[in-house]
Amino acid sequence: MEYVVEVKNLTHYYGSKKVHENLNFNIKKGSIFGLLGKNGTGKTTTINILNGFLKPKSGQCLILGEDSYKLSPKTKSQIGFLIEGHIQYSFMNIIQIEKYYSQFYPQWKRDVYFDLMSKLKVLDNQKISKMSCGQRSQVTLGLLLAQDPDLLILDDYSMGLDAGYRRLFLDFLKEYGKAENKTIFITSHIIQDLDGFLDDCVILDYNGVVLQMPIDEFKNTFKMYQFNTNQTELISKDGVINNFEIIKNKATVYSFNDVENVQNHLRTKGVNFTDFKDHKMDLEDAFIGLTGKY
Amino acid sequence: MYKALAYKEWIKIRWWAVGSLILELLLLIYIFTNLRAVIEYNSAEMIWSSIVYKSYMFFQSLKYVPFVVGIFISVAQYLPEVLDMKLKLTLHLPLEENRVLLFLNLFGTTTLLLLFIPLVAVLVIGSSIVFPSEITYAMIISIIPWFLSGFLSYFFVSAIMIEPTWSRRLVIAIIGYFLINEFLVDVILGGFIKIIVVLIVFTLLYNYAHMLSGLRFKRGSK
Repeated sequence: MEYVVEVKNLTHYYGSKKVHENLNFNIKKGSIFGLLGKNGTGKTTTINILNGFLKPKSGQCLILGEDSYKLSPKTKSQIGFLIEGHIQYSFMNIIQIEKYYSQFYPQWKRDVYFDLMSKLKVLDNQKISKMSCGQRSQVTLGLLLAQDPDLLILDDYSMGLDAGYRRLFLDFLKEYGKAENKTIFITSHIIQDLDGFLDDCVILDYNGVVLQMPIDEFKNTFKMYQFNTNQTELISKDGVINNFEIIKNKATVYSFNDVENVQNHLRTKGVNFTDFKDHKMDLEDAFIGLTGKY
Repeated sequence: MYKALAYKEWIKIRWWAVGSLILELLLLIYIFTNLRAVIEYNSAEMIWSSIVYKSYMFFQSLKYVPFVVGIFISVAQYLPEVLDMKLKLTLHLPLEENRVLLFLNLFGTTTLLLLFIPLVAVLVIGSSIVFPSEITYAMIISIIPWFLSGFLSYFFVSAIMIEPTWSRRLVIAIIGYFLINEFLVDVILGGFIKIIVVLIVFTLLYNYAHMLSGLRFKRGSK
């Protein structure tokens, strides 16, 4: 099977509010796929649909070849699911929760879990509810890795974590994903952390998908150009300019076109410019450039 | 796998179950201490007259206890599941969702049975020692609806907690209130004899109320 996740013409509304309309994307086996977007663009809704916790209005989601709303127990055993905020059974301690989950997964890797727990400064009888968010994230990560699923679906792993724990989480995941050829589907609102982590991405905004491509291609082809001009009113979004910002006479435009094309395009529009510069962007700059600051 | 599920459910409810047992024990001590005092300070004729003409029930203070215990167990079992939507974790387990919901319900119902049976047994034995079998039989008929109200409060409170929409929660709460009220209405000793089977059937029917809410939770109803 080439694709682990196939989303076909997915459409969903909450009442009359559109969340997705004809959303399409596929996730290749062994890849790390990011669903990026601002708050309220439907990332968690997508995760809920993929895990079968929401029935879409129309369209289809296939997870490991099965309809996501009717996942069989066997397929569910191959999916590791992280709920936003590292939610786990907080009334259990680290021993109880391992004992509990280990009964459900035949390929359970007890050592992986306890190796990770040994690095935490928590007592065996300490309830998860008494742990810090960072410690809780390590417990959930340990459980996910011990489950050894083929597909990991992680809803905003970064929520409530400081920079150290976020890095730790991603470092473990990356090593695990690449070593075991696992597929990882991840959402996050901290885009900078995912720079160098993702293979592919879909970027959502309030009107739907704005981009779907390999992350390196996005970073290499999406450019930021800055220049001074007096004709700021002539600059607008079109087939060449994906987004722009104006502060006094200084214009910033974002485009998938090279310098020459953008300059020619501006001239065609009647925009005179000086001090034209091409800036390199990291993933977060590119994301903001594409989706805007608001 | 179901053994592991039972393990999790037990961790959630154990202190509540122990608390309920202590409550029942204190109640039994109160009931029999009171009964002893009544026997000691009144003649046999007077007690008989109270039972026959005034429907005196020495076990009256038991009335709301099963109802309260049902709520205890339901809250202990389902509140941790619905806080932060942890029920998603349970439904994501490699098990068929309907069976998981049914198992959770079965676990709670069995716990209630285990909490209620010793209470009834002590009452029946205590009553048999003091009163003739007719009075004990009438007592059993009188307390059955009260114990059924314990199962009903468990079913309804569970359904209210799992139900994802507020409007339906309200509907379930209203139905539950009126139905449970019928089970706790004051009647003469043994007065429920004619409708006891109907009450049992009603209780069994509402056993599945939380299943519908659970499936609506799974469907992501808003």
